[in-house]
Amino acid sequence: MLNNNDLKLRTEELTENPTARVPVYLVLDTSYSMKGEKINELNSALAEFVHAVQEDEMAAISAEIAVVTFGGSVTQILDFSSIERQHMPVLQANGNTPMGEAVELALDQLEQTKRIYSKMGVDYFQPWLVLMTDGEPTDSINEAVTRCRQLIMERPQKLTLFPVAIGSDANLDILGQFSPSLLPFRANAAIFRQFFSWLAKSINTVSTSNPGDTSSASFGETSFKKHQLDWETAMKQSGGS
Amino acid sequence: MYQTQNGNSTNQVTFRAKARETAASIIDQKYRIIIDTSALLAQGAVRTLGGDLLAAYNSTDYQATVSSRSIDHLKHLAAKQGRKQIVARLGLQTLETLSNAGHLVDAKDPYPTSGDPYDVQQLLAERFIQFQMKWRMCLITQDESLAKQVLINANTAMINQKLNVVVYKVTPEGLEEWQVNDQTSHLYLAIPPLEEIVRQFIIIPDTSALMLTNRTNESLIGTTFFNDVLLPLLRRHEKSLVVPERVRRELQKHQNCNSQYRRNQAGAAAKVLAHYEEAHCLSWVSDADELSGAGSTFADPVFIQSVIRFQNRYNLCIITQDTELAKTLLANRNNSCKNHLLLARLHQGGKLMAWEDFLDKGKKRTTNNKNPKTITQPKNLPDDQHLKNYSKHSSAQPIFNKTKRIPKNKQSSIKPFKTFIQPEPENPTPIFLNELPNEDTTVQSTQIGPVKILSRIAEGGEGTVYETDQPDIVCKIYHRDQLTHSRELKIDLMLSKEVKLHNICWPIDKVTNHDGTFVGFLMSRVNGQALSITVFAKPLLIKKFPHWHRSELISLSITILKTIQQLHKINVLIGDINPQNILVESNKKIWIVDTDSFQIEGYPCPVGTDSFTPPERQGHNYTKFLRTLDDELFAITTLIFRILFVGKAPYSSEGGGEASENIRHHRFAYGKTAEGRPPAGTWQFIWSHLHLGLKEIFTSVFQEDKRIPVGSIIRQLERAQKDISQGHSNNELFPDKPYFSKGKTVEMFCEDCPPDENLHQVGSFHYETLRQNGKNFVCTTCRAQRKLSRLTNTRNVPCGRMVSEHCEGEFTISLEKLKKLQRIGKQPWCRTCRNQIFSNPRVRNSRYQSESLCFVATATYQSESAPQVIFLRHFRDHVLMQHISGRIFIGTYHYVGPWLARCVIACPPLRTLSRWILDRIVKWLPPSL
Repeated sequence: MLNNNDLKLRTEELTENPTARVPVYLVLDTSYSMKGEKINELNSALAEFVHAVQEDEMAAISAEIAVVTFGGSVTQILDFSSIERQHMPVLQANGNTPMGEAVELALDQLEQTKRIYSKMGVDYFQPWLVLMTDGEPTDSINEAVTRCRQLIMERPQKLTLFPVAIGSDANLDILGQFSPSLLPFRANAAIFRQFFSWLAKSINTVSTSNPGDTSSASFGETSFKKHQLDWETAMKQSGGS
Repeated sequence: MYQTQNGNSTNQVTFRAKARETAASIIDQKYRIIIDTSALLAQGAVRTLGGDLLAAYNSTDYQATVSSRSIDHLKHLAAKQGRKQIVARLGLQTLETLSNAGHLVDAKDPYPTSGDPYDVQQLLAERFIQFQMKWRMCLITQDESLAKQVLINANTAMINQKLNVVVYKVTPEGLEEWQVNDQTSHLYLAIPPLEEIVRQFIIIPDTSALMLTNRTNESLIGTTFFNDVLLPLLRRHEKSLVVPERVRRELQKHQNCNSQYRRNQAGAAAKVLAHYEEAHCLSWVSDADELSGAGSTFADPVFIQSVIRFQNRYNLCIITQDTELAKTLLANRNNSCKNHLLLARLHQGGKLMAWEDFLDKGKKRTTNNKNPKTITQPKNLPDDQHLKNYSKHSSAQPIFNKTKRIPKNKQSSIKPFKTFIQPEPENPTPIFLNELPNEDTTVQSTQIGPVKILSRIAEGGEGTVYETDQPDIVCKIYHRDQLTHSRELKIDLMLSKEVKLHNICWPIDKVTNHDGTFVGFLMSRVNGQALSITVFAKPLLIKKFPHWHRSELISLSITILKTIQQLHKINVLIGDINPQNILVESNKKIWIVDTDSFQIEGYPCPVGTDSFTPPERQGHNYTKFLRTLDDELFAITTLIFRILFVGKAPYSSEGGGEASENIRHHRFAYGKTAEGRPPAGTWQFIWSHLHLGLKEIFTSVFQEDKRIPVGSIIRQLERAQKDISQGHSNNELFPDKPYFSKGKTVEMFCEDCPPDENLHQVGSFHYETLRQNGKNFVCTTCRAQRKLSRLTNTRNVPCGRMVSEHCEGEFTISLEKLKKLQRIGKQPWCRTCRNQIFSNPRVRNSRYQSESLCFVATATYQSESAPQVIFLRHFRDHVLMQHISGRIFIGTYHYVGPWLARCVIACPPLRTLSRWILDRIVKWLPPSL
């Protein structure tokens, strides 16, 4: 729940800024297996990401980022608000992997935010959700999967989900269930930066197009597929695992 | 010297004496004097008018008339610093002298509805025509044209030995009479004087003559002529006006027409005819009978035929304003016949003129009645009427008429492009290419020669734009998959005419690579930032153009619209009007780029933007159809709306969804006929302060689905601009309160604002409403905050019961209540369902019991509509409640029930057990229930 000051700022943001919002939700695995290089790379990539979005003039006024991590418990790190006010904390790796709960929380939050946008008369693009995990979920993901699939299959598409598997231990089958239109991408720590920089640029492209363009979802998906090739090349070059 | 002075003064005396004589003689002859403004400002006015005239009036009871407009004009001049200030003051003095002596009448004339408020020329001319039949009139003016007009009217309208109208001029020596120049009056003497006509001819007026009005629509010259000039003559000579039946029919038709203006004219003409009938000076001629022309007598040819035929029997005088009719009649005139056929038209001064003279003059005069079918728009119609008429008769046709053509231009030096209806079949054959040119390659252009490509500037969906070694030229190279023959042909077409338009980046030259294959084109380099990242994003606008106010937004809109008008003149549609394609350098300097996707001739615009696409085109494939002007007008209006509302889309409203959805649903949330509430924030205030004409445009386009042409929008914007520059309108970009008319605001305290800043201006109507309902005032920001707080603290959940037919399935519930219910294990019910259930008194009384029994069963089956639960409830209601033992059982149970239910929820295995038990119970219970 927002306290009074936050409420005031948020009201201002929503009523003063007529730009169409791009809601982006990052659902990140911070379980014990991410300890070490992976979590460090993730942290620096995230910091760069936030910085890149804040620097781009169009993205800064339209992107709304929220972050939830699942590592032991499900924690909401960042809530939806204007990116200017947001500061990405450092993530710690610990615990098991309650992926289902995290995704469900993300979906609930997205519903709620869309409802708020709609009621306050703010235009918005359909949200993007980035799911990054390096292992297997320790709770039931069926609810989450059903909901995600439902939203993605709807026309016009109500959600775009980008599944990213980190490392060789990640279970691609499970991850692949979430999005019927995109295959999970197997990444390693070396290209986190590139991935997030692509994400920032894509947000910019989407925000400069016009709200209502259904292409924001298809653009995201096509772009994701296109860039996978580049990332794979980059990974091979850096000799990652 | 003394001598000369004396001599002078003697001369003066003589002059004055003579002047006084003239004045006296005028008054003796009982002329009524009307003084014109120019006379009051003339040199010598004081002495002549204030002195001589006054003296002449002295012993009489007569008075001179002056128009209130003249007086106001003088006052205006006297107040203003200028050359005429002194003279005006003197003029006012003169008037005062006359008035103090009781010899001045102020004719209280209302101001004309358009044009110069101080114009008296028309007024005086008409007054003279009106009154010269009753009295002798004398006009004092310096204005030659007015003098001529009055005199000439007098000469031909009446033939009398005594002049009834004289016109005098003010000179330092006294009053001097205006003489009519014989030469000019010659023109009008091709027609015999009116009295002769009345005596010897049969007069037949045409509808056009009866409905004639003068240019300022003030008085109806036609009716004045007919009523005041012709009728008395006819009466005197006991003749009648002969009016064909077709005139009556045409008047009826005009009385039912859409234009108020036309109706007025027809009504006045009908009154004239009624007047004539009363005076027994009217005879209707039914063409079918007498003039034996069968069929519809609207048709001019039939009329003409009849007229020609009757020329043999009588002398005819036809009065008409219709050139075509006149020309035909002239051509058909049988000159060998002994009877005369006179063709006359009413002149603006209200007198007759021969058509031969009029046609000879060659110069086209405009009369409002030239062709009753064209609708001329007098400028004095109030705004909304103007618009209503315009949008009905404008070039924009109903939106489903796909074959609308863009009107061809008349005076552009560029020959416009052709209009196509179907798009050209696209030739999608890609142009085969080994390698696309990119940075540091040289490409060939036909006019400029080799051009080297330097760094990349931007990349889009169709191609990439590069800098070149020519400093003010950039080059666009298409992507490989976008290079088709169609594109080449389109660029060729665009280059075929030399198009030099302001503000538009038309292609300059075609570009091929080294082996001659088409790869792209050249255009000039321009500066500026796209609309989407300047005006449409509030924080960026404030950053980049901090000094802009509303007037800059309006002038920006006007600049853009004028540019688009140029394109429409040469029959080119932009197609994809997109804020990314309009670059802004300043509010007067813009550039439209991406010109290769314009729609020209048969080449459609292959791209589009959902939020600028009209509702009927949503979802269509842009490459498959040619846009019409209507589609473009929708996009243009959306663009202007978004500029004025600093980025907010027209259809976004509270409770709306995505833009394309909103457009399809047509929910326009602003204005009196709004559907839904406008979005939170300053947007409703911007609407409230918006100029009325603009509000109407937006309502017509977004609510009523009309399309308003670009010219009208420009006009309204210019009006709005003027309003702001004169201080009538708010110039703030983001007003924080709605528009209040003066004196209708109350100051109130907002409940939620911090104590220092909680004073707000509130409209008095709103204040009254609040007071009546006993509510406190909350300012809009605080209200939005409250709303957000409600939104964040509530959730939308599906109703658990769904028993009422009014149930909507989902409803809003506060987070706390939701959590509480979840803890107990109950599903939330929406209010409609709850009311339905508890409206049944039996249920209400036993509510507690029923709920408690439901606890366990509901918890077990996790739903209250599970068949077992319903069955158990039914059992309880019909069996247990009947017997006292049953009721005791229920009573005990209600203590245990909730606890049991909780256990069941918390522990899944217990739930399974409970389910098994309850199933057994249900099975065991007699089925006859």
